[in-house]
Formats: sequence, C-alpha cells, structure tokens
Amino acid sequence: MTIKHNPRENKKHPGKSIRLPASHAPICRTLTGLISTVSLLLIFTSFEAAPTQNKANGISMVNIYFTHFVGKKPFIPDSTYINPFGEKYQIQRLKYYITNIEFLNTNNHSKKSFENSYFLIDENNPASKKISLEGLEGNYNAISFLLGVDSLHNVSGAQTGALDPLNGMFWTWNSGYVSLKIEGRSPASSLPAKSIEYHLGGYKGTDKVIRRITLSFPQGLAKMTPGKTITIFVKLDVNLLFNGIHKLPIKSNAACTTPGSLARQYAENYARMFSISNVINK
Amino acid sequence: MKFLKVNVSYITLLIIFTVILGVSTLIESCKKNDTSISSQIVGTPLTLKIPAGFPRPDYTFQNNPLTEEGFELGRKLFYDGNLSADGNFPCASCHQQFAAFSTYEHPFSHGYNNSFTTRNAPALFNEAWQKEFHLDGGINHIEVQPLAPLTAHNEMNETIENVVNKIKNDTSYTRMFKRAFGDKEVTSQRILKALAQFTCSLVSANSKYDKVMRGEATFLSYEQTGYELFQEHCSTCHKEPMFTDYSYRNIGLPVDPTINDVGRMRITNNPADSLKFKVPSLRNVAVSPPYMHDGRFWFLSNCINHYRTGIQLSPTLDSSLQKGIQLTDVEVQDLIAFLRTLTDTAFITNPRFADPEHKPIFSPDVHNF
Repeated sequence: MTIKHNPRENKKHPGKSIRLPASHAPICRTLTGLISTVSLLLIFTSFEAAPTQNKANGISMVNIYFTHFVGKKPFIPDSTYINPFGEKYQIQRLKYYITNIEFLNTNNHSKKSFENSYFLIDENNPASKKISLEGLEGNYNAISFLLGVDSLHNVSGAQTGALDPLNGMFWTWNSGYVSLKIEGRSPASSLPAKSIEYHLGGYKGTDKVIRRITLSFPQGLAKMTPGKTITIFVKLDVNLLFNGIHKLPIKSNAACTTPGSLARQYAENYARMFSISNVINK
Repeated sequence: MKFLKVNVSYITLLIIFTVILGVSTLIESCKKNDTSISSQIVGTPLTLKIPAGFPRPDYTFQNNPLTEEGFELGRKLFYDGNLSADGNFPCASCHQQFAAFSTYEHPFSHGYNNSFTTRNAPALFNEAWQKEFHLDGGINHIEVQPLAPLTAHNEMNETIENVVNKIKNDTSYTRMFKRAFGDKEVTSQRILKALAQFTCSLVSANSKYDKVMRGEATFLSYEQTGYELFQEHCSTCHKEPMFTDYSYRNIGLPVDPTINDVGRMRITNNPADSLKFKVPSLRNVAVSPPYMHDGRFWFLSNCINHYRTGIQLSPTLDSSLQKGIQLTDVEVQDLIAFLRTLTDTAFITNPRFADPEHKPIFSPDVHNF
C-alpha cells in the first residue's frame, strides 16, 4: 500500500548514502558516477511511467475531490454569502485536516485503513483539494475519515509533512492541532474589523473536536479490482457550520479560538458539513 | 583476454551495484510515505545519563536519537538571535546559564519591540523529566515548546516559516544539519528536535545536596536543620529528588489586577484550576531570582514569609496551605541555608552548555569527518 501525498506535504526524504564493503572501495569510486546515472535514469523512467501505466500495472487508484459550497452555490473566497440567519459573510481562509482515511463495506463489516494518511485541505491551495491513494481492492460502500488530527499525533512532539506546524494549524500556547480553520469578515461580527475567526481545536476529554465522518456511496457497492479507479466527490457546505444541530449565528459568536464547549458545538455541526455528491467507479 | 576479463567483472559489478542501488532506493521510496521520522541514527550517539536516585525521564529521545551533532546543532540554535524577528532575542536572552537558564533579576523578560512577558521565565534544567511545559502546563511536549516563545508577539515575534528560511539561508548551519540528520534539509521538525536534544541534555544533579545524598559531602549543622524543616514543611509539593511533584497549585498569592493571570484555568477552562500554577523545582533556586509565576518576590525570605503570613484565602487555595506554614525567624534562615545547597555550580558554569560562539563547535581532533 502506498499513499500519494499532496504536493504541499511532499517533503524530500533524507537520502541514504550507500556504503559498499571496504575492499570494493577503489572500483566503487570509479563506477559510482556511472551507476548512479544508470540507476537514476531507471528510477525516473519508472516514476514517469507510473500514472499512464496505472491500468496496465494493475494498481487500483482512489481520487477524492473536496468541493466547497455555500448551500447550493460553489464557494469562492472573498465572495459574499448569506447564512440561514440572514447574516452576510465572506471567507478568506478555509483549511481543515482529513486524516486516518478508511473504506468500509457495511454489508460484511470489512474495512481498509490507510495508515498515516494525513492531509491538509486548503481552499487557497487547489492541489490540496484532491487526495490520491493507491491500492484499494475489494468491495466498499462508504468512505470514513477523521476531521482533525488523532489525539496521538497531538501529543507526539514535532511533526512534519501535512502536520508541520508551519502550516498554521498548530496552537503554540496550548499544544494541539486545529481541526478546521475559517477566517473572514461579516457585518454581523462584533469583533474589530468585523472579522470572524473559527479555529476549532481540542483533543482532550470533553473538549475533543475530532470527529469521524462516514459517508455512504450514493450508488451502493463499488467494486475495486486491480487497475480500476474510484473517484469520489466530497461536498462541504459552509453554512452548516453555523446552522446544524446547534444554531450558532455570527452575531452571538464571531470567533471561537479555544477548546471548550463552544468549539464542541461547532464540531457537532461540522461533523455534518460533508456529503458525497458523486462517485465514479471505472 | 585479460582485458576482457576485467571488463566482464566491471560489468558484473556494475549490474550488482545498480541492483543494490535500485533496491535501496525502492526501500527509501516506500518509507517516504511515513510521516514519522526514520529512527536511523546519523552522527555520534550520546546517552543521557540518569543521575542516581532520579526517576525515569519522560522524554526518552524516541524518534529523536540523541547525538553529539544533534546536541551541538540545538545548542547553536538556542543561542542564535536569528530565531527572533529582529535578531535580538535568542532563546538564551531569557534563559541565561548563570541563572540556571532563567532570566536573572527580571520579574518579566524583555521581548520584541520593548515588550515584556507576563510571566517569570522558568529556569531550564532536568527538562526531560517534565511532563508538561509552561507555568500553566499548556504545552504537552518538549519538542513543540519552542513554538510558543518563537511566535509570541511579546517574545521572539517570529513566524515558523521565517525561522526555517533564515536557517536555510545561513550557510553556517548547512554542515551541521548534514551531520545531525544525514542531509542539509532544514525543516521545522529538525529545528525543534535539535533544540529538544540541547534542552533535554541540561541535567542538573551535582549540587551540594546531591553530593550529601551520594555521601560525598556533609551538610553544615544549620543546613541539616534546614533540610529537616524542608522535609517537614515543603517536600510534599517540592518533592525530592526533582524538588517538584509537577502538580498545579494555588499557593494563595494575591491576584495582580494588572495581569489577572488565572494560570492553569486558561488551559483547562475548569474553574477548579483557577489561580493554579505549576510547582517549580527548587534546584538552583538561589541563583534564579526573582520568584513566583510573576516574579513578584526578589528574595527567598520573601517567599518563605509569604507562606508564613501572606497567604490569601480563595476557593482553590491548596488544602495544605489553609493555615500557612509556621516557622520562626531562625528557622527561616536555616531553611534558606538549605535551599542554597541546591545550587549546582558545575551546571551553571558547564562550558558544554554555554554559547558555542565562544569556542569551536566541532573539534577536528574529536570528529573525524
């Protein structure tokens, strides 16, 4: 099983130098350049060829597209929208973590987990809105993921890749990852510059805002065999953050930036922000 | 024929090496997807010596193997002003070695653009035994602790991105990253792990008290009396041998209305944690004034007098302090004499923990590269 990281987290891995037995050292030196060139050529050729030869090689692919909406309108940063409370708002920043992805078969209770799948979806980074995974085989009728970072990775020290603190999703005053971050403006806001700011985080006990979200495929079972590709379009409706299980108008809460009961209410709302608009399996 | 033979063996070798290289690269590319760092050790391994009688440390350098090169990199970063927005505030500006890595004689430390912190900078030692960091315990791991002072507007006021870029562009780091991590790539994770190697190596366990415990020295009579008083009145919270039980307690200090610091409650949102702060270790206490979370007391006698007569009642006041601590004036002097035996002079003068700019970082005699 391999996971294709999105470009943002595709950090260069420390290269390992190859040590050869000491007796071979002199020959080694004369040949190193040539060998490296040949090997690199081979490697690059295989990498280049990978996507096109997908079918021929029999690798099953998963593509998940995250599409953002406000009600029925596609979400565009800085555009003005109105929430169900009649409050106008604009959003500049929309970022969230999708982690610990699983595919489920609710008929026979089998599942396939993608370990170490950590993705930061960022509206302002279009490439991040597509997640690609490889090696899904079997029959599945639902996708499941965590919105947020599991508690273990909140307490395990310095992380890298999608979890690098320089992505601006890690609190520095009270350790922990923000699950979802929305920043913008609204005339209904009571804050300076009419700003709105929701940095929803918290991983401990009752403050936990990490939610596992399970979405069923509308057309039922998708059969994944070698060489097949499944493309899943996940839809997020921003308005449901304000108006879900809990009614949270901007007028009452223009910001939520600490763990606690309010953040938990937003989490209960955002657990229902997602739905599947389409699944293509061929 | 001979020429041909050589050629054949060269070609065979070429094929073998190509296969080896190919396989290794394949293994590497498989590993690439792992978000955790590889535990492959680069550099000269070091072992953190656990002082006799100390419990097991909380931080065990798992996923961050302690090496001489990692330690030296962390040390350079600790003393590098470039980690702050204007170059004036390295970690060491608030954490001075001669004051056991606290800010000497400053209730609040200086930060970017003439600002001040709102809490007294803690001394740094025996950090590997800390479970949580900061006076409110808001930081859950030593590796991510530096992110707080780095980004705080009244401290170093820098962004993580800028720090990474500045270190990347500073050629004096290139070889050090390569030696510590195997290649010159600079990431926030590597910076933080190197800093953790340095800060967790700051072990202080060589005070007169420690020598007495090891049978290498003896207390003077009034130090001995002070030690007995300490054990009777203070050791519940300032538990030996770490001289803290790492708990959060309200010791009845009047609230400063200009700061209104609720302490631990800021992190837990729990009113039961209001005005509670982490119990600090008393090791090196004599060299790390001023005292309390806001540095309100200049002398050890002020602190002890607070427990005798200054405690303010409040709902979250620690149960052990409801009646204060009863000590005579003479006993206060004995207690202070004992507290002075907790100063680890070897630690606060150890050149290994000092600013590396004052001596070569890598001695060519020791390291054969």
